[in-house]
Amino acid sequence: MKSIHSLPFVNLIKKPARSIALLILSAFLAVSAFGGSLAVMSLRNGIDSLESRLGADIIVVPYEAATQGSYESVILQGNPGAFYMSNSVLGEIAEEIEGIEKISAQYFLVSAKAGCCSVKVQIIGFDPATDFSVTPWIERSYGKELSDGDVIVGSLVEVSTGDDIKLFDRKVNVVGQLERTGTELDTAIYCNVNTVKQLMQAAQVKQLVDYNGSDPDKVISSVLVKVRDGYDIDDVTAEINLHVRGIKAIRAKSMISSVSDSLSGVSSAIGVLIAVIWGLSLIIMAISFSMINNERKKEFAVLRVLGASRGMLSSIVFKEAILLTFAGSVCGILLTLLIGALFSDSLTSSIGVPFLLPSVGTMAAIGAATVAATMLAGALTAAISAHKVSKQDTGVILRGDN
Amino acid sequence: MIKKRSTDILNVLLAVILTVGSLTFFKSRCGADMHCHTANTVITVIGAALIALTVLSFVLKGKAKTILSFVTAAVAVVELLIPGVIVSLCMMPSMSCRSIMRPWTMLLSVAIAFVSIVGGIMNLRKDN
Repeated sequence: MKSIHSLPFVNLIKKPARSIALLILSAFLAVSAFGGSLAVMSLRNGIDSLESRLGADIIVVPYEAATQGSYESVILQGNPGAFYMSNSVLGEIAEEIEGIEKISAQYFLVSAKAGCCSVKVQIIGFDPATDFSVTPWIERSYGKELSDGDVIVGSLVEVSTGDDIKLFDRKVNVVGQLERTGTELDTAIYCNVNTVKQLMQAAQVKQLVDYNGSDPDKVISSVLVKVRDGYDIDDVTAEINLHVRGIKAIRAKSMISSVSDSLSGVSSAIGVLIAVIWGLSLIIMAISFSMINNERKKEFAVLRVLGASRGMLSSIVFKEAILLTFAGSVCGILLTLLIGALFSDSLTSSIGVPFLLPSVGTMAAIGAATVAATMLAGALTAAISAHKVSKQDTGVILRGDN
Repeated sequence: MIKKRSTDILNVLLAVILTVGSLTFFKSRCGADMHCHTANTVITVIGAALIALTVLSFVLKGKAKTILSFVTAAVAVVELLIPGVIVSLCMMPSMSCRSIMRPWTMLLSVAIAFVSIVGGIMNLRKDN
């Protein structure tokens, strides 16, 4: 009986070309399902991460930055950029607009070189006394307030904690690294308001940045606003736009919603693609199993003569399909993970939207579901062949009357 | 004859793709004064050495060929470690050295190492 139980495995080994072809087909199913699911989840996670990172209900930027799309370019597409307006905007909004719970300024600066390579690095300064956007994030990773001259870097900036780097010929000390967000904020450098103002002055001395003719101590790049409970965010946004000149107040959600809407379209397209791939692959798999088992009629007839029951023949066909689809799906998942791990930087750079992989536990769950679905698909397509095999008349086959 | 030489042929192809690729489609596009430019040059040179080793495997037989297979695998492992470990690369993940040159070098080096080891084992069994 041991030999009949090992027969499916032996059959697969003895016919490597056939087995490999079906294995590749199963791997293809797994790659499409696993890869597609990961892609959709990662895009969604990236948007959610960005929304939570922004932290603000309303973002106020210089009018030119809003109309030229500079702010979105910096935050959503990761193109290092900087824009400036008078710091009096902060006071105007705080004093004249009702319904504001929290308000804080941010400072953007672009470094020409950061001791790594000839690439621009985004520097983001914040006021620890008033900030509510970056500080919670820093507290999770670093746990302390940033001192003057200290910087904390995004997760994708390859420097070690304790390293000194030079920005505009000013040495700053890297005190920590933030956790990954899947957004372009992962490639930025963060510092407190005193440090960023020193860097802004150093950049002006080197004539690398122009602050619209203003003193770098008197400019800010953006204002983040948290609206008090009970006030409508759209109303507060409209009030700011009405009463403060030279700026544009944008609802944070609306900036993200345009990306979110396009991602919904992408997710739907991926879903349709997965469905089409699975539909075609299942048809091919069913035809393949049918053709293979048709060729093996005499083999099955001999097994019947040797004493194998109809149920045993069906189980051999079934087990072969399960083994193949299991091996194929595992290979497909491993291949997806390998390609993803090797080319993730290239892929996320080319996508240009926030992209954050789900947790290891979630990926494992998706992997397990993919394996189960692929095995189920194999079992269903093999079931048709298994049923036919069990109904064959041994005598007719051995006589040659197929 | 093709079936017998399948691992040798595959290895030569992989080594050629690695070397040619390091000069073309996965060439680092950072400045010539950067570490990654050095890494790219070393990858190309080792890739050329791998071509020579894999071509030599067509000529050798027996124990010498087995030893050559494992030496090729070792050289491929060294090639794997060049970008980012032995020679440092740029800090930013979006730079071509990190996002394109490194993954392709790793993928092809692992493939060459794997095929060399498989070829070496097959040769060893044939000799025994």
